[in-house]
Amino acid sequence: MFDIGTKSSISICRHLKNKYFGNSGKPDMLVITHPHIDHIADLENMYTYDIKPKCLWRDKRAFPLIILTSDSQAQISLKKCANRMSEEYSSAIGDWDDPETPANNGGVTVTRFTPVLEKSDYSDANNFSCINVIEYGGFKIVITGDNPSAKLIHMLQQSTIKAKIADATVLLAPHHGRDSDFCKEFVQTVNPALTVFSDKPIQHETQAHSAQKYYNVTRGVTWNGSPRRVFTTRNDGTITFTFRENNSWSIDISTTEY
Amino acid sequence: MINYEIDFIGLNEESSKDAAATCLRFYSQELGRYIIVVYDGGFSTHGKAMVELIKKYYTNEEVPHIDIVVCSHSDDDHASGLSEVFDACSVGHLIVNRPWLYASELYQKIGDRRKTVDSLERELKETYSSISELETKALEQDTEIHEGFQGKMFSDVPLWILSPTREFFIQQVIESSKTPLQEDASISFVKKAFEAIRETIKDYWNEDAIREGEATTPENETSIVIYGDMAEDRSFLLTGDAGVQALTEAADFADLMGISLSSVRFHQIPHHGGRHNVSPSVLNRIVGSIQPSGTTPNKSAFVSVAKNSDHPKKMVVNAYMRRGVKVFEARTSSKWHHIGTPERDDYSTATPLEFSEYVESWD
Repeated sequence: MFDIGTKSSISICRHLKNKYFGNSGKPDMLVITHPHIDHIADLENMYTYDIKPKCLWRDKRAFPLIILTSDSQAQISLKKCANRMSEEYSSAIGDWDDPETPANNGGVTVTRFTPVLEKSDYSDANNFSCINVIEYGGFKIVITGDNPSAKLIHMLQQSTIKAKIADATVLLAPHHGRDSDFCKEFVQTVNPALTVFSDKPIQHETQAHSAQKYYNVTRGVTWNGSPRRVFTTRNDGTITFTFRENNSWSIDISTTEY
Repeated sequence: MINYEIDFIGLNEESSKDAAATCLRFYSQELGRYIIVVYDGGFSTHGKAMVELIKKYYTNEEVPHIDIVVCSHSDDDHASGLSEVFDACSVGHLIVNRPWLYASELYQKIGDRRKTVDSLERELKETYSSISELETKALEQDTEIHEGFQGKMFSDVPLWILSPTREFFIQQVIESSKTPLQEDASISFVKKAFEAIRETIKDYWNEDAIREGEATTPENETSIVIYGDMAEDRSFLLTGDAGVQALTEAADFADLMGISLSSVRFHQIPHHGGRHNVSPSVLNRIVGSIQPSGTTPNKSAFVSVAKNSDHPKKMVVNAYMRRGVKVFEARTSSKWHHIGTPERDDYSTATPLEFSEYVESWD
């Protein structure tokens, strides 16, 4: 799992429990790209529904989260949960248990890039956002957090990253596709067949402008007989990509909530 | 630019035992209010006095809320007064390093096979009883407890922990004579016998009387060193009882992060001004180089000492002064440093210590 935000009052964890985990299953790993509320909002329900991940990845530099008297009860409770979790998952993952090792997960390669941070970067948690590359067969998914454009440009200077992210099948757009963080150099390098915005039900003004920008640098596919380049959770609902061993893939959308 | 004020508690009580208790608050533009931080609580009388000061000048709350309490290290003269803070205040976060959390690691490194990990953990809690008590009090009031290792304390608070790293902390715990480990495996630190100072020597402005190669206890070296990034020449450095090793770690990390320690304007002199904690080279890094005689000082430093203490050592005060620092002692009364916060009617300007022409001899 990459991040655990929630877009409504319906718990994503409840959905996951029902759909994937049944009585005893648990997610193998949770990756928190950065600990902003909209990326961890449903964390406590991992405990409620008994689906705590076997492994956790988070940028330790971003923890602990400070709790202030001005925070709401819900924020306090969530931050405490995140802090407890960050402290709890402190032992190293062995090679045999690492869910990101292809030998353990049926051949999926996961590569993660974390930003080099300067002193001033620490004051905004968005700057901690990592870039994740998931590869299976000929497919490649690039999952970002809320990476600001300046940090993306900085990260592109890391020698291995350009080749790793290049020519992806799907890009999850940084910062929900916000215009202010549109980074042409990054998206052109990723050169995605499709871009996905994981955005709110209410359109953020800046996302309307950026959809066109992403459209211009996304290769596009034919889906249900029509050309598509950008999918958004706001308009398309839950978007499911299925990648198969025989190198075929499909896209399904569902607007019913879970 | 961030407005802040910081208080060092001094008590007019007959004692020669030094202790350090410090509290501060800085204004957060984002939150539109002050964040209150306590850094060490001295002995219990210091802790009580600090709570009174907080109630008088920091907040009107009947039960003050302290956002962050930092326990620099386990020694009683820094840790025990924090119990008073927990008794009288609500505390959001406690930053403290608890050796027993690393019992299994310590056990593996220098395992005494007559013990188990569990028994080592218990013994560590007993040995480090002052912080064990703090842990209990924090858990009782649901305070968040965190390790205090190198890095930003919280991403959106302008405080940095410059030392220790986790590795350095564990190494110091292993070396500490407090730690109940197999004797031949641990490097036991022999405290230097207290030297009665009989002679004094002449000290010249351009030449330090403090020297290289001195060492303090491993417990002191575990001190959490804090850099307050108040921006535009307002930054401060709190050192607890840190020695040359910890201060070197701090300076190395500052270099790595692009933190300019030479622009720090307010210092806590480590370990009550003891002369085994600093060296000329480490002061050059954390304070700055020696200024020509007659240069107007543009920095300040506070040092916490007991009424009847022979600290701070004159040679240490001189070492700070020749690096452009005005030194003030919190001895029989508390001392206050502030930039941009409200005035206090009942305070007057403090007098800095003078440069000593003769200082303690090393022999």
